Amino acid sequence: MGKKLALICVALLLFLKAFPQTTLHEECTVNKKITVVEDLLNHIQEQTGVSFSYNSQLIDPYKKITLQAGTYTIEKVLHHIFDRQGIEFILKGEQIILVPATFSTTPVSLEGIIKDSSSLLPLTGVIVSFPEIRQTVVTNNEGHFSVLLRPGPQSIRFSLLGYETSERNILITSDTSLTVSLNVKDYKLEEVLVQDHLQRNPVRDLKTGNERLNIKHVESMPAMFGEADILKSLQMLPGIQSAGEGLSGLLVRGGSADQTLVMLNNATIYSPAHFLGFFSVFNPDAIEDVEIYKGGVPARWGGRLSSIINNNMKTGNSEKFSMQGGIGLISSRLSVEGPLLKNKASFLLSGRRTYFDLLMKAVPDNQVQATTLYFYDLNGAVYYQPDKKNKFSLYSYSGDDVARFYDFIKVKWGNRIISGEWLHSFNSRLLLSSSFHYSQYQYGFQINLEDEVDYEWSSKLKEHTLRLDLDYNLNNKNQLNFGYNASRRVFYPVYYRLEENNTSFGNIMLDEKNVLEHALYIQNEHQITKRLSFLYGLRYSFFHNMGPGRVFKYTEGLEKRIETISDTVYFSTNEIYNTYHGAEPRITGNYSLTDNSAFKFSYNRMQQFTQVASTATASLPQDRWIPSDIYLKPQTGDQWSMGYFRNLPQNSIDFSAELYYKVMQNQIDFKDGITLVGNVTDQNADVHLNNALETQLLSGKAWSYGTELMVRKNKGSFTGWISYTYSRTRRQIKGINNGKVYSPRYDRPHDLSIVGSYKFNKRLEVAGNWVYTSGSAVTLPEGKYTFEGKQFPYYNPEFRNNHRLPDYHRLDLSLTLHNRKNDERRWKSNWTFSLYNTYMRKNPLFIQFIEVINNDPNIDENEVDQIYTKDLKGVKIYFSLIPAISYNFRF
Amino acid sequence: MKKLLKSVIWSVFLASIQACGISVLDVELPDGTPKLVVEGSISNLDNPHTILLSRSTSFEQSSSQYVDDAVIIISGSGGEQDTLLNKGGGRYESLIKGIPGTTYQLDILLDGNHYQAFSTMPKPPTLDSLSISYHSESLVREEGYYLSLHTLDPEEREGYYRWIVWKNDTLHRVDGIPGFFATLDMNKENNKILNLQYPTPFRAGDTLRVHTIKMDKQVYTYYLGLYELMINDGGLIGPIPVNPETNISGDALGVFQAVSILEKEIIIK
Repeated sequence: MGKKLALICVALLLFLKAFPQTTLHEECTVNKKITVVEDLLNHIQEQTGVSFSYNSQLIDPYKKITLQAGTYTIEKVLHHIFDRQGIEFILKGEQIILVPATFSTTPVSLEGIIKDSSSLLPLTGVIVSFPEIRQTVVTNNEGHFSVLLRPGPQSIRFSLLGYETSERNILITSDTSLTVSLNVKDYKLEEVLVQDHLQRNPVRDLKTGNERLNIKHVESMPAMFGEADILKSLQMLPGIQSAGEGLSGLLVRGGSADQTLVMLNNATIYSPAHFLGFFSVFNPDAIEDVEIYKGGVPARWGGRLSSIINNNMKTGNSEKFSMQGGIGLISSRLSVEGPLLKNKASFLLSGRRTYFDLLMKAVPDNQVQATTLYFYDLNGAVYYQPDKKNKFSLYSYSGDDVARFYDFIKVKWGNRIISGEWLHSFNSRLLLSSSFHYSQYQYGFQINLEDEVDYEWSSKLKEHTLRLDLDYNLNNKNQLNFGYNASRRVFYPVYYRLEENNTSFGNIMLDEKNVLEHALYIQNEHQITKRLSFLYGLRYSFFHNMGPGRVFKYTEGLEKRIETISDTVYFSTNEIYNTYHGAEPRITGNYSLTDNSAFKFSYNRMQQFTQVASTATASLPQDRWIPSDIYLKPQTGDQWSMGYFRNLPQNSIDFSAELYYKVMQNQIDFKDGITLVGNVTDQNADVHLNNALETQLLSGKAWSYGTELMVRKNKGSFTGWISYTYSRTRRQIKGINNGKVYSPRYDRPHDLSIVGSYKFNKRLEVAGNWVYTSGSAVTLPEGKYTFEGKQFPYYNPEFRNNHRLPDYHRLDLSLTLHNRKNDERRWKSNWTFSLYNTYMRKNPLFIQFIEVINNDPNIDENEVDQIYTKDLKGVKIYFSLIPAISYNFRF
Repeated sequence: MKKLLKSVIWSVFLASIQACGISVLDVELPDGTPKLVVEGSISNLDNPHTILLSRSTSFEQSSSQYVDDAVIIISGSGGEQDTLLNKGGGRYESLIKGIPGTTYQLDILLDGNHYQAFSTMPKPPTLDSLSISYHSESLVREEGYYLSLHTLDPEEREGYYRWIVWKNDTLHRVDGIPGFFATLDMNKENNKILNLQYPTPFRAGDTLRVHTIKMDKQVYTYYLGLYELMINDGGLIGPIPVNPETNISGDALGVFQAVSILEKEIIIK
């Protein structure tokens, strides 16, 4: 009888295996040999194939049980045995899990740290997903994630581009902590990855207009002079343009370069470029990744209209020492990182120096040899994590550009940054970050020529900032983020002194300006339904002008000019004489259409209280930063955007399309005809020497709109992306262009970037970029005339920037040869060859209208034998092909 | 192999530092309507004053277009008036006596258009002396004899000046423009003694005829705009190019200036 039943059982089981939901109703036979829990469970397992899972501290496997022999459904058996013990069971596929009956639905926390299995460094941006409950979180800069879950079994998947995906099944009964190691993916030809450029699921991420660019990708792109550059790589993303050939200033969604806040670990960098803007100040060896917000800016950020860029420094290896660096044609770099206290503290020290001048000493020309031209960057960081709840970080940056011609002309400009941060986790739900930041930017210029000329100019800007940011996990549908930040800035007087032939031409100290900008913010990331989530928040900003300082009063009804100043009012130290304040709402919504596609929209309002008074489109070292004041209202910007995002399966290809519209108020521009420097001096008109800039500035509005499309391939031996943006930017300022609408120089409707790289095998990879943009908007002359024997161009005052330069396009290529004779050796190195502007297109950078001799702009009037023609012509200055070589290593 | 690598690196470096180039801009330039260009001055010196009229042209044309069919009248605030005589080649002459302190009005009638300008002739400059000093070749200057001007207008509060030099009877140009400009702002306390040096050196034996010219602020502003045009880079770093601010109404280019001149000669021994 028993045997037959058993056979039927087995048959039934085989038949029913396809229908796991009826597992509990499967029947089994129990005989007298089963006396303890363990036996019973094993017996059921043998008979039915169902397995059991339980916490052995909870359920004693050797507990005696009494059960009458017979045939029962599994469900009945389990109820019989466990109900008394206050144990329930949960079915999961072919598995039955035994849990305490007091198993409530109170969420418990699951947190963890995910590390790289070989370097043991924490991994940022790992996607931790819970497929059954359709929830996803992402690890932060410390490799840490935290989520609230209902107790019970969970399958968790950990994925990160470049690493093998890891899966775990765990049973969560109480607050749990995990450490997970991910292995770097092997280089198999079919699945090779060259860059990890997006470490998040773009579909799931709540924020629109948000990118995270990893340094590995930046390093694999060919670059000017062979120098990998973060800011220039960002220019390959949709919606982000450069001011011009090779220049680092970023123009995001129609905003000017000073509307982008560039930070290093939350500290502002006012002049993020070296060499007049051809290189950024970020040494790629010291940087982990870059976050950029073009729209949908979270409430914790503010102060600029168009975008926020935060460069995050590497966190240093707390397990073992490592070193990396490179030697290139015009610069070299070296980084060292390692533990200070094993597993608790680490440090990072990174330096870079260019040596244009050392190489110029090889050129056989005295003047060239006497020129010093270099810049350096020095980054340092120290991390200390005494326990799981606290982490301390200290960052510093120092960098200068130095140009010297013998001892007579000296120019020096640079940034200094010091930041300190304390991360404190009160419990698994509440995290506090307190930080202070000091940022200094200075620029100085000196000429000393014996008795003849003695000229000095210098200016400085200092900023002290305090930030308090709290992350509070209210419940598993609401993540709050709130805090306060305050910045005190001093714009130091410009000091200017000129003496020529013992005659003094001026000794000016411009007014010191003091301001305080602070803001409170709160936002909530709200998962409303499985498909719909919202990020809504409010930032409220305050701005004060304070003494010591003075304000000019002008005669009512008259245009503000030096001549119409009627009075001067003085303010004492810390006396507040002007305040602005305003609300900045931020809203983003995300609706998941499917698991792999989403629709997002956002609205945000930004305010900007500091800007550059400059005629230039590019960011320059001599940019004059000025604060808002009584006559200069703060800039405000409203941006609406919406987008569609889609991932193809396994994150191999993603696609995005975004639309935006932006309106900006109180945009400044200079009255026409401002003279900066010439053969003559007119101090009133000179931007750099003017205490009453309100007499030279006009303000109005600007607006921009565009469509951004991007397709990205993330896997395979060939990876890369194509990004295309169509956008327009317009301005309208009364008093400029006769009050008519005009384009700023960077209004370039088409912007296409194709970025790709191909890995042939373990040793050889090739990468390339092709960029194509519409020509810049420029003002061209309508004709020429002769005045006092010299030819000049003439312009139509109503056609400001009405014409376009030829379209810009350029191809860059690079080839990297890895020295990998032995994979096991610690010393890894490669040679990189790159070509900038491979087909040598002569894209105009500067244009001038000058008298050209014999149709050749290279001819100097004083050095030519015969002058056949001397005509006024347009000439362009361009960058030709620039090749570069570098040797890079990692230890 | 090492030698090959070394030469590759060296040629790459050499190529890198020659990274910039200059060539003619290949862009179609718009064609505007030709404009009247006015050049010329009235001064306190005795020679006839000349106004030169021409027209702007498109970029393709090589030669200037002179205007000989205009009617030009100069009148002074003291009541004097003169209709200028056309001498051909766009030149119009007047023998009216230029008196410092007078405001002069220029009227041009051409093709039914009326152009007008005003300029006030300042008091003549007073100059302490001119001197010549020799400097040998140094890093920032060429070798030669440099002309210096000492103590200009010690009583004046403000002034706008230009220096024009004829070297051996040939008009000397600096960057294509005759002469050199400077302002004097006595409101700055340290400006008691002024020493200005002419930027280009001369040779031994040169005869220099020096005109120290004083003009009004509007004319000076015009020349500032002209210099700005000469260094303009198309708007990438500097401002967007604009025409110099003229004192002539009616959409004309150029400037009308009433200036006072002090003439001095010096021979380099």
